[in-house]
Amino acid sequence: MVVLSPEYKILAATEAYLQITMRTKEQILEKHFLLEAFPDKELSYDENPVKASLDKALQSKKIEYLDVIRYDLPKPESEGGGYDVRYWEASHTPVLDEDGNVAFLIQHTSDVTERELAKLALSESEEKFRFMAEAMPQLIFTTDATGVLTYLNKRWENYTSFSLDELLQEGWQKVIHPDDLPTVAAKWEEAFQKKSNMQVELRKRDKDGIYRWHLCRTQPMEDNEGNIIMWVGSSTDIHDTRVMVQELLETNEQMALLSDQVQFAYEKAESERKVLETLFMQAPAMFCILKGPDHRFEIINEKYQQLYPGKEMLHKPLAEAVPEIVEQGFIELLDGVYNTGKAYIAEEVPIMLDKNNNGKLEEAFFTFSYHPIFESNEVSGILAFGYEVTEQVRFRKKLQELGRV
Amino acid sequence: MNVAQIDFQQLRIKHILYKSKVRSMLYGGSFDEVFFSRSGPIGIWFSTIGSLRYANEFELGELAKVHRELESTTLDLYRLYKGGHIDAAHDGLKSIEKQSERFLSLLLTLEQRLKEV
Repeated sequence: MVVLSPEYKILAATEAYLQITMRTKEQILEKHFLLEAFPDKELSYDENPVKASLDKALQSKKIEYLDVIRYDLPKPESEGGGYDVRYWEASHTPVLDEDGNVAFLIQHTSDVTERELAKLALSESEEKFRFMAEAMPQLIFTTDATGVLTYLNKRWENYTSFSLDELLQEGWQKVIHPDDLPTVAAKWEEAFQKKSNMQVELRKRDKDGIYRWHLCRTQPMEDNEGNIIMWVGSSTDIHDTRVMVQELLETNEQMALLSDQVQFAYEKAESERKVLETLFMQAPAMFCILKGPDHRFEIINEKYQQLYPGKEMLHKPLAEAVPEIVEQGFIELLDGVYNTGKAYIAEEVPIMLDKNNNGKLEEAFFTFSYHPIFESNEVSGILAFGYEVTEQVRFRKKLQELGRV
Repeated sequence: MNVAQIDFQQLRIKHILYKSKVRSMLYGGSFDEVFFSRSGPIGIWFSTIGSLRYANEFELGELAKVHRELESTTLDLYRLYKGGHIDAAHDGLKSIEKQSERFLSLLLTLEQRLKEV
């Protein structure tokens, strides 16, 4: 407490005042309060709100309250000089003499630095929270302890077609798909009762009226005593992920279906092939398949093998396996079928064969045919089919001879 | 293409479908009870083709074991998801992926070993 003359000269000061202001009586008594004792380091005398308040109290003769002001106190040189940050709450009370004139003014000052600094820190941390919430790629919201919406970040406005005020006043329910509302309400109620986290998937209507899937998470915030002071919530757009996951599933289902069909087709073809192979191998006529331009034996049936008992022919080129037929012109015939893709059929053709694998050639007669085998429209081999007609030819010749006689 | 190649291709495709199915279940899909049971496509593969043609292969037993582990993880994730622990369930897809890597690598080993024979 400090007492001033109507000219704002310091008349008296309490010990507490001196202590807080770190001054001695000698330093401030009889000094002008604002010009000499405590000049403002930033504001001019006329701009000083303390002067304005004192002026007002002096004129109105009524008590004047000052807003909380920051008035930093100069530190004595002995303490390193400079200024000490201080916040003040002050009132100016005019004391009147018998004639009703202001005899002096009492400034009652309380140091509220601690309270004001705490307030400032809180507002700074709130600012930080807001900045973070605005920077988040999600829709962010908070509610008070009773679940009433207190804050929405700007993204809500961008996502929905409503202003933040509309959403805050009328609630976020209006953007949620009606089918999802009962579940969401139940989950929220449960989380609220249990004071626990909540995660729920729900559809929210965007600007274009499209309901997009979101994953919404809420979490209670507790004070030191464990009382809930607020709820923080976020809403992440997971629509594209959901669509992608669904598409991927459909693709894979198609793929599995296709692969079942491949298996089925393969099994069918395989069983047909086996039937044919059995027929082919056990047929009472000669069959062989010659592959490639050098007519390599790929399959030889039993009847064909009987032509050359004990001879290893499989996978060998015809010219190598049965060299005696080369000069009889059969390779040229096969080449012709292979190159033109046209079948060749011959009846009762004499062939010299080394039947007993002893180098002695014997004449035998065959009726045979060469059929091209196509793979993707190209000849890949030749199916040779034939049967021996030596006996018939000989009998006929004999009959002819007898007829001539 | 031979029958073993087709058999293993079948299993590989069914396995990938299985993963897709798990993922879709955790992104709003339903829990397909038949699919995730022993009567699902993979269960049938093991009880028919697998036990018919490859019962003596070491890797087959291992594959069946890894698949059983996958089934158990799937059930765990389903419970988490249904219980509202959506993040935890999505996080659990990492375990599915790990088991799947093991499954596919076993399958590849078996496939290549039989190809060499």
